[in-house]
Amino acid sequence: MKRMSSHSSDFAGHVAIVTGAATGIGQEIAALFLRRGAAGVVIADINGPMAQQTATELSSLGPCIAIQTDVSDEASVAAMVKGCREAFGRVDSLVTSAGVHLHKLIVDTSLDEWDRQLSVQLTGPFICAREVARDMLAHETRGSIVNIVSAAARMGRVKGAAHCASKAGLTLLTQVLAMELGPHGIRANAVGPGLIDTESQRDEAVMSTAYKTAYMKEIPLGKLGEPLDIAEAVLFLCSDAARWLTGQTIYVDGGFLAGNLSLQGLADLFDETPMAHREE
Amino acid sequence: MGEFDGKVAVVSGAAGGISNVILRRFVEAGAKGVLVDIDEEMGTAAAETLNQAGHDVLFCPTDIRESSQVNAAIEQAVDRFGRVDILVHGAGVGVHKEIVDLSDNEWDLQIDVQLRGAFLLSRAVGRELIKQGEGGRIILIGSTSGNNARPNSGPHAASKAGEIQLMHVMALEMGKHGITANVVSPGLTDISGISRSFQNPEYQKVFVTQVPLGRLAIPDEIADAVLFLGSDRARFITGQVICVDGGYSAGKLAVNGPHHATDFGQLESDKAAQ
Repeated sequence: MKRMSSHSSDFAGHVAIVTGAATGIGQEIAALFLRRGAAGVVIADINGPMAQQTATELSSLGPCIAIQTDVSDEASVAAMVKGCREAFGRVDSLVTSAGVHLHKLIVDTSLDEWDRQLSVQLTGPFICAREVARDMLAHETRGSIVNIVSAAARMGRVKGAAHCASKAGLTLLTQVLAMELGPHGIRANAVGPGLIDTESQRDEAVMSTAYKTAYMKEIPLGKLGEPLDIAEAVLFLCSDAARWLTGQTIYVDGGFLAGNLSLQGLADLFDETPMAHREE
Repeated sequence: MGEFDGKVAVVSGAAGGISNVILRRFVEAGAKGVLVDIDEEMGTAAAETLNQAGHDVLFCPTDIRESSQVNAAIEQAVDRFGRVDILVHGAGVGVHKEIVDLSDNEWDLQIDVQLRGAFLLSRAVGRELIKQGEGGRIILIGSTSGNNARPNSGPHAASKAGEIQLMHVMALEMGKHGITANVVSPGLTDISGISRSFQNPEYQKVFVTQVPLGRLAIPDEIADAVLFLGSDRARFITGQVICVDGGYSAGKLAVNGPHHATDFGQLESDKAAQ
């Protein structure tokens, strides 16, 4: 039994596909697989040149290749899985991290915008999981699928309709994957990042400082997460140490979903109230 | 070099069962151990076993329903090791009756050990962690029944659901001190030979049919998740309930037969029968 799950040999022989891996959280996940000794990582991204650049950068950590992939396209995903098998001979883990930014009120959202976010963030993971599961079933691989969801799967957000709906849907898709693939020894889980300090979110056009400031007040640990925090949870779920974990969603959010931290001030109000049975 | 070198882990109920395995795994990974349990004989033996294997474990015989005893145990741990870093509350008792058949005492016993005990231990360890000022980890052992009720589990399910909200509030209140609070909820785990409680083999057999991975858990698999949450790798994870249950909580696997609207053969035979 493997015990030292933080050691670099943990993922010896392990091959992973990470979608949306050219940048941000996906890139960090790909890098951590390599640092922990993975035998191969596929950097799948719709942006082929950027995926190639990331693969080149990460190649000092271990074997990785870029495969330009549109996760919402069946043929493209099939080619991604085939490419992984041709390069590394197997598929042990799939991490679906591809996403698109959209921040609009429902009444301002076009059907195309809705469709695009749903196709990348919900239909995409369905196609990827289906293709990878078929490969795992055919080769009796007791693999692991991790879908990157979001705190938005559980907590509504103004201007987040398609994002929230896709991530909530992906959470339940994960549970059905766990139920159907469990008998074959294949596990499916989700990791839900809260607000994470990635390069794209430092762009004011993507996320305003006002939004981040308001969000921070709701994080008990008082800081944004780092991409590495997400990657560590993903790698734990793909490791042998998580062999009894399936159908779960782990939110890595500094406590954002635990409750309403911003109501802290109201407690002070009660402190002013004389109470007959105050302790201490 | 262990991942928990220099850390001190307090584990309640650790004279036996899953908690004992959790304590062993922490000390094997380099931590000093504090074994909190009400059973003096078993606790002494369990600590001795670990110490003979070269680990450093302090046994504090404790009725965790009593705050004076809980506070004394944590004080003793700090006296001995200079600090505490991780609390795992795994102590529990078995009551398995329909609500209409429960006595007041049975309700109180399970609620007091599992929920009041969680509060008293977390308060004592939380105060110490805040004083130390270096963060910390509180991990309560829940149960899938904390959010997935089953018959005959009244006080068990209520205490575990209560623990989950207690944990959420701790995550909110203690986050500013760098302390994370989480719940690990085991599904049905094979504890034969290591536990004081008895599992009905018939019940185990039926339960397994609801588990996608198709067997009972072994205690090490629960410990794996606890160690992850106790580690620096999980520094941004707080307020979470992680069910380590082989997929039991993903859905109702028992509802997995022919569907009335899609199984046309069934419809045809229904017609024929009419």
